[in-house]
Amino acid sequence: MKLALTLFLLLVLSSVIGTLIPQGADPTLYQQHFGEVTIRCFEFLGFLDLFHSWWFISILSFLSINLLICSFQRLPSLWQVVSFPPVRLDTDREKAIPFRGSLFFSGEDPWPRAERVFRDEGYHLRREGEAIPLCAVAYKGQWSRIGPYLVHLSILIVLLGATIDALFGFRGYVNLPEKGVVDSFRLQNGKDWRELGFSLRCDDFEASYYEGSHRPKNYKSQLTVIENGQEVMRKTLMVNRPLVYKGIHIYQSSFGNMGEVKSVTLSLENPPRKESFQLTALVGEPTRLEGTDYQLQILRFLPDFALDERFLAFSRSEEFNNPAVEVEIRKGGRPWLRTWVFEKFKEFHGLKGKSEVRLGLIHYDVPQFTGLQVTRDPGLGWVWTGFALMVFGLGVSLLMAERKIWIEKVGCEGNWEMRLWGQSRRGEEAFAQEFSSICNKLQGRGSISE
Amino acid sequence: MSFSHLFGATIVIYLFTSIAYIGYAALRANPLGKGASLLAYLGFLVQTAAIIWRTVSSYHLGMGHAPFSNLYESMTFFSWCIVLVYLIFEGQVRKRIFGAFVMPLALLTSAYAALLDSGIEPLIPALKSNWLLIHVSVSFLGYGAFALSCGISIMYLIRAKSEGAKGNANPGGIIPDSRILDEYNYKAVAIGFPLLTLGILTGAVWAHYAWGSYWSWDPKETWSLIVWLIYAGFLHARIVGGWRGKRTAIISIIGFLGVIFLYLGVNLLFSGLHSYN
Repeated sequence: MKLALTLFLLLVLSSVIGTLIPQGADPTLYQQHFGEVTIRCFEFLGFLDLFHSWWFISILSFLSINLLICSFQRLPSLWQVVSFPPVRLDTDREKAIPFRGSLFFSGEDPWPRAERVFRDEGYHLRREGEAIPLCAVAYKGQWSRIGPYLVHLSILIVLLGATIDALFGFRGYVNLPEKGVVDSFRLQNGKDWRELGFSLRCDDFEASYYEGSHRPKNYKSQLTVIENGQEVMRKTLMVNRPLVYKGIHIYQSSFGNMGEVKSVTLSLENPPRKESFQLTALVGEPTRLEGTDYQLQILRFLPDFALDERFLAFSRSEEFNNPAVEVEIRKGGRPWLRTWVFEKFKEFHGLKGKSEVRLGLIHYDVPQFTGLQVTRDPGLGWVWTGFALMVFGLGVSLLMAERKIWIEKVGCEGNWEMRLWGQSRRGEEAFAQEFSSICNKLQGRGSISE
Repeated sequence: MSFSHLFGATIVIYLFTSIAYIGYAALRANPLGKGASLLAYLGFLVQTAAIIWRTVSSYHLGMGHAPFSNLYESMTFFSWCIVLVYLIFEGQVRKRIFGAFVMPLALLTSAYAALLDSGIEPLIPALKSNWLLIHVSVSFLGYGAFALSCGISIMYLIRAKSEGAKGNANPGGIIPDSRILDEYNYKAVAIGFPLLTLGILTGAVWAHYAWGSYWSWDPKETWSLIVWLIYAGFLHARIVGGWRGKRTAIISIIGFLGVIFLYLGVNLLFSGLHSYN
């Protein structure tokens, strides 16, 4: 017991350290916060990847062994007591029993009725002999005492599953470009690549945002699994809904923009002539406006437009905070209008107001990639079993109550006395009621089913 | 009127409730105690209505979700859980003195919440799961039970000190016997522990479905394990080791400090999947 508590304490202390010192982070992060010497100490002590260090795993192993040994030591005698509860109470224990009763009967032997009463209330009976005094014990809820052992066993099963996963499983990730195919992924350490064993193609990726913000509302990928040239599976992958194929789990984890905006949709309005239409063009490629002499070219796209000290345009970041395109329109081959068009500032129509034309930035397409987590957990079945057993074990330990009532019957024909001692391991208030109800029924008040 | 008015009303009601319970404890006036209980029930009803109203409003705004998604919502839910656990407890043991030590916690948490940004925010995709409801509610009910055990343990230490000083029966008067307090401390932990376990397990299952890893030793998961170990230590020390009284009271208090850190410290100090920053 003391060993277990000590191991708990060690586990707690190490875990605290493991949260205060960032685990498995980039070396630069450590250099920012700690000195060279401190970092060396941490490395030596294994504090930088504490939860996988040999000594942490040893603590867990010792705890597991401790659990096993303690259970083996206690279980046999517990089994004995649970299956064959002692019929007699020794005098020391008798003093501690909280509920007592003394019932007197004239007339016939109350024992047969007693048997029915106890059976009615769900008790098992075990008695010693036919002699007088007759000693017996009524008991129920014995199995609740097994509860803690089930919980311990469940912990061992979970640890077993986790060990299997640590040894034979993997965690990794891969960024899959929209319309692209991958057949391998990167392990969590960021260094090694591994084969999937099949190919994964992203047919479409879609992200939706909450109104007027950059907060993602939902994002999903249409994935196809290809094996040996055959398309074997199609799935819409979303967060919280993984794809599982051949024991490999794939999760929608993130997404991002790849490369630069390629295609832009503009609206053009010519107020005097009341014409308006939309035009989609690729950045850098001139497009002739149909039936006219005008040629339009999108010179550049900036996701986060800003002006520097020399009033030259640049992009402050990669985020789409202030999307803008620089548009040039030529008439008859000669420059006619050059302006910036902003998604967020629809009223801005260029400094040199050629008011015949109004431009608007409607839409831009940036190729995206979908960020996937790739994992394999061969021990998962064990872990789930352990969890279920843990819940069951806790329920049995805490919801069932072991109750015992010792009975001693003395006396002779016409003049019987039954003494009762009752105790309950849990829920004493409810038991108090049950005890007095039993006493009433034994004395003939209250009904019992025949 | 909107639900934010109801939340404000809740704080005021809990303030008077706490004052009434403390007054009852100091003056031993039964009417004060009865009034305090009534106020507690009233406050609980108002808070429940406010939470439901807020949830319904979120659906009307097109971003419907259970009210657990940010610090404000979880803090108000935490105070709701404390009151729920307390009222059930008071109904069982019929002693109002405990209110003086537990209701102030409910007041503190709901009042602190009022200082926070309370806008209804939409959920990020990772939180859009049925697991959100069960994982968070079970965890906070557990925290509520641990809050109760902490209040009881503080009462125990006060009572044990006065018992030691005068060495006589009935020194505290209105505060129950230290033996009873010790028993209640154990029972509160015995309720909180399986709830916390369920919270951790549902969190692990959800993590598996969301991120492919049922356990990644991130600060939140690790601290929940730490708190779990502290209370597991409590149960073993008491049931197997026969520890009683002062030692177990102190473990309860340390455990609840761990709960506070688990809930707030981790979310505010460390970045990561559970971060509120």
